[in-house]
Amino acid sequence: MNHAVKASKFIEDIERTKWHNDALWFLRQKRDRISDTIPEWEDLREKASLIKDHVISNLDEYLIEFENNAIRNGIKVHWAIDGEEHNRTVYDILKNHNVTKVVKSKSMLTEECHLNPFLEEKGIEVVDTDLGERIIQFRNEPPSHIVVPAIHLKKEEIGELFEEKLNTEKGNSDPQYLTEEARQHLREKFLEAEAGITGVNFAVASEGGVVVCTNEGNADLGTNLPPIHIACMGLEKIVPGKEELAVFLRLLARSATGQPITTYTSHFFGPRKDGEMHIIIVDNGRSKILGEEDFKKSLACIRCGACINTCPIYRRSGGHSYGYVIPGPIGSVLAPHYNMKKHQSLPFASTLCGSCTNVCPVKIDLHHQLLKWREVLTQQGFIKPSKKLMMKLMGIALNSSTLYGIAAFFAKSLRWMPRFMIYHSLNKWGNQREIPEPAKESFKTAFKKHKKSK
Amino acid sequence: MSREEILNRIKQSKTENNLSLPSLDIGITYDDSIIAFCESLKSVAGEMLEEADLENYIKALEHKYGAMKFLNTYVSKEINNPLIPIQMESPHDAKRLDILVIEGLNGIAENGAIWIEEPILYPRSAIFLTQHLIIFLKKTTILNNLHEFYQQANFHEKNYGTLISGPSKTADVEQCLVIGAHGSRSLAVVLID
Ligand code: SF4
Repeated sequence: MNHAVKASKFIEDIERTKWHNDALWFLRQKRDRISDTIPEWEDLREKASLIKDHVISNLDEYLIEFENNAIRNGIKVHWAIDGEEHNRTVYDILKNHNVTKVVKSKSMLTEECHLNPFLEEKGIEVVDTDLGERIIQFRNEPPSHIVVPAIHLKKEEIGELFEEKLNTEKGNSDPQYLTEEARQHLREKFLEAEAGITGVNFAVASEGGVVVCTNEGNADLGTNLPPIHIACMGLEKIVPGKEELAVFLRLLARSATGQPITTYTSHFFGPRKDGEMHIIIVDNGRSKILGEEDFKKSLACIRCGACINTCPIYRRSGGHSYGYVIPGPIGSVLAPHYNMKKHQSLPFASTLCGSCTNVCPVKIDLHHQLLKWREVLTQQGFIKPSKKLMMKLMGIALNSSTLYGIAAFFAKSLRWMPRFMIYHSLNKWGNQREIPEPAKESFKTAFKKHKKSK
Repeated sequence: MSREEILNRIKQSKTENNLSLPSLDIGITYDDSIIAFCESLKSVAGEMLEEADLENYIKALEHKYGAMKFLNTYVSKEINNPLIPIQMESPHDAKRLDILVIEGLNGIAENGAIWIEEPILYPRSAIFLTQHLIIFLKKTTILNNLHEFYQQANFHEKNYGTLISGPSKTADVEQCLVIGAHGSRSLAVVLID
């Protein structure tokens, strides 16, 4: 099913769409407010972008440096070419220690690799410990956002869910109460876990260790209680050294939720006393993206979610309408690399307004990449003939000043048409939208006048 | 071996260029980094505390959260306090902890974070399992920003360290901010000379 079809289901619930839109816009506003307090903000983005460009073009050397230093620190390093090998590696570690209970903090990579179903099939209990992730795990759903995974749900739905799963009070959907119940439930899970899995926010090459950021403290509880820690990272998570780490940590939480930093920024640079630490470095298609000049910059992504929060299409269509583990602009840029046919509608799930590119802390040219994908998809024959024809006609009209003038005249005349002629089922743009009042005179006329009067 | 395969693929894919790392001579500074630190701490729901008020503070915690179920605490610093210290051998022992009082090594003004690193005399888990966290911090250790922090940091032979900015929190239920997710329900900082 394509994005537009699923999105139209989402917007059927007008209230929820409005709430969803406002909730995400609130995050965007918080990002703006806090970035305004940092005078060097734009400079910081520029530095972050330059660091990533440098890392991306020297990735193999940095990975080797990272590995050497990690091994020196006593960490066991594994490599996985794809999701399947990643899952098997995790399982082998767990099996070697007869582990049957695992806690996991947020990791988009393990979602990408479908680790949970794989381990569950082998009889291992995996508990997602981020509150939002636990909620969607109970519901057997994928996340709808990379930072706030249960943003598609209202508190009443979560209340009912907890009633069923955690025996909470009937009808009580107070966020404070629900969070407290989850705290008690998950503390038990932390205490009985035999291993902890985390994602990785940054892998510091010069130090041979990883940094994991959470607000809830779940990554630290999941790794500091059980004796085994498995950290799973995409190979693009490398930063050269601690000084560069500072740049990304200053950008991440501010861009994500408008916080100055996450509550916990934990540096795992070696195993705990009497413990074991593993790092799995995963490719899963990343080295291929690296070879594509127009798209490789997407490997700079630090998964802050800012482009998602600001995207007018995401805000009004919800994460599940994308059908890929990462939604929004960055998801739409990444997904077609994995399955062009399946995800062909995603590069079109954008107005190309460029807001994503403007907020991205590492300056990924997101809307340019979306446009590029449209080009690629067209070349490869993924575009419907009707759309192609429209594009062609538009192209002709926009190229000829006379034709454009005629078209503009007709566009203006829309105002005088009866409503039923404009807002009908064939005109999708008329859904929930009024055409704007056209300007009294066209730009061309106004320009001419202005020139004369000078 | 996947390792060689992955490294080979990267070598084939990457475009060689001479992009060097940018200089990092940036970072906000404050007229008074201690005041800035206090403001940042407040903004992340942390509290400032005078050393003399410690006893009252703990009473207030009891008032707010109900009697401390286990009046146990681990104090790594010699302070006047009404609590009973316990010994923690294994990481799981920390589950009985109500209040943990520890020392921080650096404060960071731009985000209210406090740095704690190994070696520590208690299990790492205690920092996160304790219901309430109180951190003593020397005023002179407060830095302006993360650049300053990482420039002076030395992680050699260090297995673990964490920056803590306020009590644990979540907004996963309808974007409502709730303090006290999995980690400590409160965080108070005592600035000392
Ligand atoms: S693409 Fe940029 S804005 Fe979007 S999640 Fe990644 S880093 Fe954040």
